[in-house]
Amino acid sequence: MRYKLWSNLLTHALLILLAFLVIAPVLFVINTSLKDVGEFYRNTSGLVQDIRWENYVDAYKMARIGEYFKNSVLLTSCSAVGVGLVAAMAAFPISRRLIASADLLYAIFTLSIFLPGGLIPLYGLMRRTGLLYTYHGFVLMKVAAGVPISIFILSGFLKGVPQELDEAAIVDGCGPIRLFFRIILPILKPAVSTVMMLTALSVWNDFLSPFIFLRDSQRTLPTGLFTFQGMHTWNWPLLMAGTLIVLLPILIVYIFLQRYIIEGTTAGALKG
Amino acid sequence: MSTKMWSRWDTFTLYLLVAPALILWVLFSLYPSLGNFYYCFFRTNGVPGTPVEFVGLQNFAWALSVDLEYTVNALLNGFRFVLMVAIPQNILALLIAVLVGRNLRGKELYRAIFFFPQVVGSMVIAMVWSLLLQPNGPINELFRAIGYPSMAKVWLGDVTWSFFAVSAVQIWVSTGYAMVIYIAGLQGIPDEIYEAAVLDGANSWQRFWRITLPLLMPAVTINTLLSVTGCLGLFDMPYLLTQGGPLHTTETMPLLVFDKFLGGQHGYGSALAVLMFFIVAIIALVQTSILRRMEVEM
Repeated sequence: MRYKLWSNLLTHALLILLAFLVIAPVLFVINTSLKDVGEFYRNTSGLVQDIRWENYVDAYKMARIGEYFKNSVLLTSCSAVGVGLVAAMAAFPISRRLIASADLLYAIFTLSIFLPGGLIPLYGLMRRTGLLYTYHGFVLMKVAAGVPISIFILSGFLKGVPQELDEAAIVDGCGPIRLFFRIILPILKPAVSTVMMLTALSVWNDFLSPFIFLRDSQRTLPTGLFTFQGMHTWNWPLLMAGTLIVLLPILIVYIFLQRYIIEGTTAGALKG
Repeated sequence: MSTKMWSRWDTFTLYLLVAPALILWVLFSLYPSLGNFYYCFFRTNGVPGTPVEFVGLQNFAWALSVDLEYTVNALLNGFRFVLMVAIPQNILALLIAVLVGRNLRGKELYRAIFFFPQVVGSMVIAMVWSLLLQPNGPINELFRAIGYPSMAKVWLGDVTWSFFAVSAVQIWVSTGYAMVIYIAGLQGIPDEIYEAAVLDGANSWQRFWRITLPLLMPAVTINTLLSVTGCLGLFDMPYLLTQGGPLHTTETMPLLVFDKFLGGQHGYGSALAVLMFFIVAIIALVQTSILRRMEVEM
């Protein structure tokens, strides 16, 4: 048993060391964000001497975080709700095989998870249809991007739900639309929240598509941070304060939902 | 099934339920994806109203003659990232997964910490690491403090070292994802097999090579596929940390495509995307068929 104790200790020691490599950068950034610019250049790597909380206020104002935050919340929530609804609506007839080409549609959506993205034609399409630089165009694009993997996850979930309930409802004279909204959607709720959460994470964190498909006043937090970085390349404490403000919402959500986020993210990969 | 009770209108509404997903998918996924195969034969800057000229295979010819140096460099960088990111990342992820194991105390917490970089977002990660990799930043300070001042580099501006710096950051980002897949694979291995092996006198080293690894092959297949294709198509970290530089040393195919997109060479950019698609597809197919053959039935 002594051997077991030692091997356990060694395992924990190694894991704690590796975990430190993940956490240390964040701690260092917090330390930097509290420094005065002068202090940063005198003492770049040392512990902060004179705590300057004002960096956060300055970063919030100068990076126009409030504005970008509003855009982020708007675009993220619309995309997440859109994906949840559109994918659930499609997953129902497909996984219950209620329509003629159900298996074909399932195969198409599943395979298209691996479809290579076409940035250039997509940009051309958005431009020609007048969807470029609009919120609704951006949301439609994001919903479309999230739909295939979501249909895959939702169908997988629905296949595990027995059909007796549907049968009973149909016998009672329930039409497809009522069946979907009254029975299927409530049953799908846990899977729909997984799918919405995955979409929300990817839209919230995306820096490239807001940069390409939206104007500056419409863009989200990561893209705002990108612009902010370009303006204050020398003021690291200010940049790090801005970075941490952008990180904070994700951190809070992650602390509470980490189990669901981790399981949801891998759900797609594992069934494939 | 009792759906025979439904009227024709009811059956039609079922198609209405699928329609939004299908229309959105055709417009914003299928069309752009196939669009590359059409755009690649034209010279166009993507601005409506400007001339679009059919040039046949000229874009490909250009990529493989005048710009050959850059095309090959970007492709080779993709393969270098496979060597420097995909392989170390998978070994590290497997190590962590085996250590965290099935029932180590604090398993959930370890898993949450290692997965954390996955949810942070590339922009924030790039900001954090550009600070850490500063010439007078903590990483260089550390090298100086432990007596290796010559290892203090201009990490993101050095022709030799920026590639390794970007690779290291990428490993930091993506190991957690691979780890979670390995952990899920480990949980699928029944305890009885290990118990039987212990009774037969197998030590932990033998148990890993004879039981864990062979039964984990499906997870290895998925992880290798995801990480190799991911490395060949790496964009976020090289773009945000070094913009593909210095001197194209961290430039990958997607960066090259993006560069042509910004530069208004949309036909040429599409041709590069098509080229990359075929190379990645061939590698993914070969690799999957090899790995599938190594999987064993449980």
